Amino acid sequence: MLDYIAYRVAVLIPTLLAVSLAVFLVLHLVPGDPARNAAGPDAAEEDIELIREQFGLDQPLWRQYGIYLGNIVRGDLGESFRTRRPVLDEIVRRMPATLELAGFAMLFAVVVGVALGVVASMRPNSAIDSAVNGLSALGISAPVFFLGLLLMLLFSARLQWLPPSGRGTMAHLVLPTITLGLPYVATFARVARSTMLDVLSEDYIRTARAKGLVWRRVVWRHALINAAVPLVTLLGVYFGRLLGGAVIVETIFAWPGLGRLMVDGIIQRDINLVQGCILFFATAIVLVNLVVDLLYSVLDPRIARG
Amino acid sequence: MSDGAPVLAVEGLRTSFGAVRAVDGVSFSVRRGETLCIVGESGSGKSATALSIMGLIPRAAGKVVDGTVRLAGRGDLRRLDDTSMAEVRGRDIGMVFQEPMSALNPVFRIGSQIGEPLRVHRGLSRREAHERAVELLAMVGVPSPAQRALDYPHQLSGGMRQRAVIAMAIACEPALILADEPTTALDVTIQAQILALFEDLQDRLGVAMVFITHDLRVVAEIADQVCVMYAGVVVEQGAARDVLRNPLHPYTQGLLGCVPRAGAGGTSRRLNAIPGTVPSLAALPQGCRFRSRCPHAFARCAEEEPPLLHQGGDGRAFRCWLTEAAA
Ligand SMILES: Nc1ncnc2c1ncn2[C@@H]1O[C@H](COP(=O)(O)OP(=O)(O)O)[C@@H](O)[C@H]1O
Ligand code: SF4
Ligand SMILES: [Mg+2]
Repeated sequence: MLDYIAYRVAVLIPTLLAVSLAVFLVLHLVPGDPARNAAGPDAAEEDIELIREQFGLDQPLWRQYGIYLGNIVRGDLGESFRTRRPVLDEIVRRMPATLELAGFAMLFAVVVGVALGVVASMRPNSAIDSAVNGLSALGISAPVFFLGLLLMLLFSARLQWLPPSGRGTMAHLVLPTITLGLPYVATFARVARSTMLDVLSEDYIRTARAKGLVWRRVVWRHALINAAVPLVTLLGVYFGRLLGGAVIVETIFAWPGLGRLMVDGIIQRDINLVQGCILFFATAIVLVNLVVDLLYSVLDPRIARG
Repeated sequence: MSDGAPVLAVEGLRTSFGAVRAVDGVSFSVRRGETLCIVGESGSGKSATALSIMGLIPRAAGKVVDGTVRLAGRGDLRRLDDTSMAEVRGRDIGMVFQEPMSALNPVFRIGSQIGEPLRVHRGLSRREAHERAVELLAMVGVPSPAQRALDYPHQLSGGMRQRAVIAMAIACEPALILADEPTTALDVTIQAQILALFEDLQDRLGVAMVFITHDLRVVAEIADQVCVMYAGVVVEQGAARDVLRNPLHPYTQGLLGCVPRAGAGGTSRRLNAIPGTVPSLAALPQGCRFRSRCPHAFARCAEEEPPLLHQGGDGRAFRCWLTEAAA
């Protein structure tokens, strides 16, 4: 098991290397002058030149990438062009907000989604099943941006139950969590329903019933664990998308997280900052997938890793 | 060997899957210490009969439409609500299925699966149930039962898994064991062992047993009573010894013709060696269901379905015009 973890962590390195190269190339090859942007609109030509030198933007591209990589290895993501503070500090400062939002949204999606899916599967084609089906169709098709604004209008502007923006209390967390999580509630509900229907037709479910277990226990104990592996896979797949959604949601609700940091960075052509953010997101996604893989062997005794 | 009132008495059982009348008026009874074999080709409604007794016909697929299923001390099981029926399953009736490879839940340990009916029906603690599960594994002839109880199903061979399923079925000392082709999926040598285990358990526990098979050698070995099923109905039933020695229905005669005599050597052919196939249960022909394959069919067989004719007082019955004409 430990060997396997070591192996998986080692595999992380080429993955992240590829990500860093791709991000580096995209950011340096798009038109626009980062140095000019950082210096501000009224800056003199000499100042811009100075910034260019300071950040190594005058070097050939391959050289810049080499330096950048060397710095990353030493844990240095460079300085923000704009604030001149280490990018790593900026990321660490904003990270808790994003992790909080993404974590709660995922939890919301999994708990509510799976519960709805399981309840629907217990009585296929019943009224409950149709209701869950309709809800999840809505949830999947509603654009995040629209959903966020709608919720904000209703619960903040009109009913004034919840704050429209910012971070601080649990109340602040409610709307962003729902906005970010709702499409995934729908996805989890659908997959949970269909996976459960498959599992419920297995022979061992009939055995469980023949033992005298009531339907509730059969469903929640014998079936759900078997449906868990595909659901956990989904968790890995959707975590990345959810982080992507967080960028939009943080912008709508002025949530002070990494997503907004990155959007600001993009607008200001703050290459180092954007690179840092994307590397962070990539690392987080890869790590979550690693955890998901390890979860398999816990959930399914047939997947044993020596 | 058999005595007293029946443990299980099935009367006029009918079960349909949509237009498919899988069980079309089946009656039989089985007493304590007695083994009743239901024998017939694949698709004749044997499993549907067993699942109907257990109340386990999948709701989305079909339902029991008529008949009574009386279990001693419980009355007609068809009248029980879901909760009471769940109490009967596993406690009063233990069931063993055909496919040992898929009958156990892959994510739970063997011991916990065997102990589960004891926890649910008898309120045993996790520890007590586990200890009892180890004893049960020993009882069904699983070597190193303490270790096996901690294994997951995929770590056991098919024969060992079937023993585990049997241990689970007898955990609560049910009055009736329902075994649906429990040896069909196993290797020949393992089949013999499992069959011997059933005989041994029945001797020791004195239960009533309904044993479904398509193998007449199995019937010859373990049955006290036999029901021969064809296309959803019983075509012949009675004491196993009588039916095997003197089959009255052309179908039974055909089946028996396919079993090599003892000591004749060679591999035994199975039941489907009778030429032709079972008619579609969704669109049964008028008259006798066996007509298309019957070597003795005559005019009347096409007009009217023969009723179950009783002969003598010992439950011997058959469904054929010919024998009536001859009698
Ligand atoms: N779940 C089901 N859905 C639809 N039809 C079924 C189902 N189970 C059994 N049947 C039908 O009922 C008939 C009898 O099947 P079964 O009882 O399994 O036969 P046997 O056990 O004797 O091989 C078959 O025609 C089969 O197609
Ligand atoms: S009733 Fe006719 S067709 Fe049916 S088994 Fe008897 S002889 Fe054959
Ligand atoms: Mg069957």
